[in-house]
Amino acid sequence: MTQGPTADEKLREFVKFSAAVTGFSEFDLWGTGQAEAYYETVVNQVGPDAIQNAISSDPSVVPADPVVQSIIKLWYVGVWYGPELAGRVDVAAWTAPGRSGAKPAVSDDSQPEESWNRQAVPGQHQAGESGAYAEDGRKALFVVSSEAYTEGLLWRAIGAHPSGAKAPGYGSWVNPPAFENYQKEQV
Amino acid sequence: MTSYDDAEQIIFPAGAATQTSAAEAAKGEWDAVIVGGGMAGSIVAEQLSQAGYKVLILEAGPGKDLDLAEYESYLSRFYGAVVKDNQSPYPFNPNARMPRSTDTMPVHPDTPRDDFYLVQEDKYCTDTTFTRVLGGTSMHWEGKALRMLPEDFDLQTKYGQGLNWPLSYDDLEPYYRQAEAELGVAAEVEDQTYLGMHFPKGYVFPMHRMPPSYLDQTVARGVDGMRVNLADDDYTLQVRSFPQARNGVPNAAYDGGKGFVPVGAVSTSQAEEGERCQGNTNCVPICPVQAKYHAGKTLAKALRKGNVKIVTQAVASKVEINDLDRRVTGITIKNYHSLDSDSYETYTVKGTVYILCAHAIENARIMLASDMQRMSRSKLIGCNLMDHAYLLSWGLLPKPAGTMRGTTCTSGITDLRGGRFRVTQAGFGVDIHNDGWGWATGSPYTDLVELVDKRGLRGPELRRTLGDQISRQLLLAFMIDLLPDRSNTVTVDDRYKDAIGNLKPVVSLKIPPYTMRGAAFARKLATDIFEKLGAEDKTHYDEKSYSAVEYDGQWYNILGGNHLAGTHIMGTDPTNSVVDHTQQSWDHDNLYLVGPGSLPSIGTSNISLTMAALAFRSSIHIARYLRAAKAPVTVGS
Ligand SMILES: Cc1cc2nc3c(=O)[nH]c(=O)nc-3n(C[C@H](O)[C@H](O)[C@H](O)COP(=O)(O)OP(=O)(O)OC[C@H]3O[C@@H](n4cnc5c(N)ncnc54)[C@H](O)[C@@H]3O)c2cc1C
Ligand code: SF4
Repeated sequence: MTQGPTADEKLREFVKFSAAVTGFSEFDLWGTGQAEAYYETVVNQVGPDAIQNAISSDPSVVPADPVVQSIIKLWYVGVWYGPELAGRVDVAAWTAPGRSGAKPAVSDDSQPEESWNRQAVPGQHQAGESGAYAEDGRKALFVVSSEAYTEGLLWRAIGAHPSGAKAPGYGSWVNPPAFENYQKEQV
Repeated sequence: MTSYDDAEQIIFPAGAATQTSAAEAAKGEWDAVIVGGGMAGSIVAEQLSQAGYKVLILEAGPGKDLDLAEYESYLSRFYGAVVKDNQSPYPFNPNARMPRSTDTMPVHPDTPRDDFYLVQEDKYCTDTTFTRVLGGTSMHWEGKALRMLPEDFDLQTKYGQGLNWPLSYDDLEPYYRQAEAELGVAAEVEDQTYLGMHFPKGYVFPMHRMPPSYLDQTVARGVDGMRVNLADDDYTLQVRSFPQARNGVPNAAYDGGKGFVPVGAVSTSQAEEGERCQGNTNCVPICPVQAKYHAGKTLAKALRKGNVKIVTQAVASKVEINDLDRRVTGITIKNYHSLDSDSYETYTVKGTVYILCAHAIENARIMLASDMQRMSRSKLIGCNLMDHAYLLSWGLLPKPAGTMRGTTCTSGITDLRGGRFRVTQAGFGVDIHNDGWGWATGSPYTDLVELVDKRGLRGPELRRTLGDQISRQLLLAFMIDLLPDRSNTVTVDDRYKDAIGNLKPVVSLKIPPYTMRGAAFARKLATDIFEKLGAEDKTHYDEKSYSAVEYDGQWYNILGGNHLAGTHIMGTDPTNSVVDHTQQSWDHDNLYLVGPGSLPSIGTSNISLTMAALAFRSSIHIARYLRAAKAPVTVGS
């Protein structure tokens, strides 16, 4: 028997695939510092087989494997939207910063912020501790960590910065937006 | 990062918010007992401290020290929260709850107690909020700091609508300047001199205006010079910068050339924070660098002299009153042990004068729970609840306009804030939102789900389409006047209590036709503006939502403005109002009600600057009251 890929190889494969589906370079993805956390999140949530299926699926096929969609959204905003939440715009609205509005119907186990809030002791609170690896494993909806939020690719895609972090500086908003040259970065 | 060399570092004495226990506080005899450590409470405390009085602040929320560590715990809670509504940075606290937009829904006595704080039984529900932590709602506010128009002070005389104030713009003008200094307002006088607003000769704002965003400039190209006819008058529209309470570039000409020193971050130790606004677009719910004013900045100053003490986790539950002379004899608090348990101790604290600064809904709630309406000659406690009615319109601009950068809002349209049309319909201000459609649709997250899940985009195409779509978003928020109306109320009901047995506020707010006429006009104006800009109108209203209001055969969604006011209205005599022009209760000699609840109208300006100006003005009267009360008396008998 030949030996299967090492953990490191699997991670690299995940990042390579992620680069293709997100439109960002592998270099960008490693630069977020989130690769390991995201890989583990996906493995914990859908299992190693599902991730393997997703990675080997033809990225041009539409509709894609919902796991692929979950992976793209994970990189873009740091939120795990389980495959069962694919297409749930109401859930997306609920999780967007600054949005006001009523709760959409999502199953109860998808509200980690409840325990989050209760455990929070000012000054002692560690963001991320109730994230991907909680109790019985599967959760339909959670933010992987506070870094995951600020490292979201979405902000770069829109020529901006995460709402509430990595501020661009006084008066920067006066000038026309500059988008990074995403063509050149394609590998 | 540009850091100020010249920002004033504010040190919050370590432990100041915890060193006084409720038990000790109850043993002391205070000159002034203030309920609420928000913007109003902090200003009054600071002013009375300057005058040398012993002040106790009772604060319902938690708040150990106003320290960067705590501040950062709010931030990381926000980053990590799945639901990023505007209360998400603050811990869930069953013992002093706050309304959350996600809890907005009609409730009934069987609705699980933990599902909501504001009790709304009507079909229309407002998603308005306020925050209960040390520093109050100012931790969370956006920081727009507009003055009211001179005509707002006598709306009844001028247009036969609403109520007159017992004060004029000119009476309040010096206090506006004081408030602008305290809050650190960035604006230019030449931008703000419109619709009768005036400033003393030579006045400049503490800081220069926030630079208008690229989006503002884009909108201005279409809007500037647009003409509107309303009630036989012509109005010419213009995009105008909004005054903001956030750190910009100090104006060297301030105070006769002395300049202005911006207030930096509040911390228990020296810290490199609190510099100029960095353009995080996160003013609501929390400014990561404390460029935005919050009441902690004033509170820290109030603590410098040592004569102001704070007890946190102390929920004012009852105002004790001597039935014979109607004087307040104490405030009873429930001092809970932690956020995780509902155990608490009860204490009554005593002072010479009592000042309720718990914000409009809570001030009314505390008084009603203390059965004070029966002693009120006007019976107006909790009546006349006001809040701005927000109508959103959103469209897609033809070219990227840099949406999602800058402060939440740098400019807007203010020409229809006042005018003769107010005889028949509400005035409004228009905000150009730099944060895109977020408020209306949940963008940019909803765009992501649409593009990935529904349109199947991925790779470079996804990236390009997202950038293009979001950068072109334009959201106009119309902030519409809502007049005082006796039947818009805060009440209490024995069937609704919180975890420690305090009655919850029951709110009933209806959006009247006068406001809806303004809304219908606003909607029409939005479509005209979009047309001018070549923007595709994407607005749609949901008639099934709790925020749906029907007017003239059309459905609209009217969102809460977070500008709660009117619940202890100010007036000329005890039968038409709850407080006089100094915010002293007509019915209880040693009680002052300070905050937006005293406003007899809200016009079309965000209320807090006016509230702060009134708080400065009242502080003088409270100090005068204390001086008289504490003067050595020579009495016979
Ligand atoms: C999202 C949002 C955006 C806003 N934007 C703006 C804006 O741009 N411009 C503007 O002018 N205004 C704005 N506001 C409104 C502004 O925040 C309030 O008008 C202002 O904070 C009111 O100040 P206050 O001191 O009266 O009340 P608060 O700041 O709410 O302070 C009240 C204090 O009392 C405490 N308290 C409450 N109940 C009790 C009790 N029972 N016992 C003891 N303590 C109690 C609270 O914990 C709090 O500390 C905004 C509000 C929100 C929510
Ligand atoms: S834009 Fe950013 S830095 Fe400026 S006040 Fe708002 S949150 Fe603070």
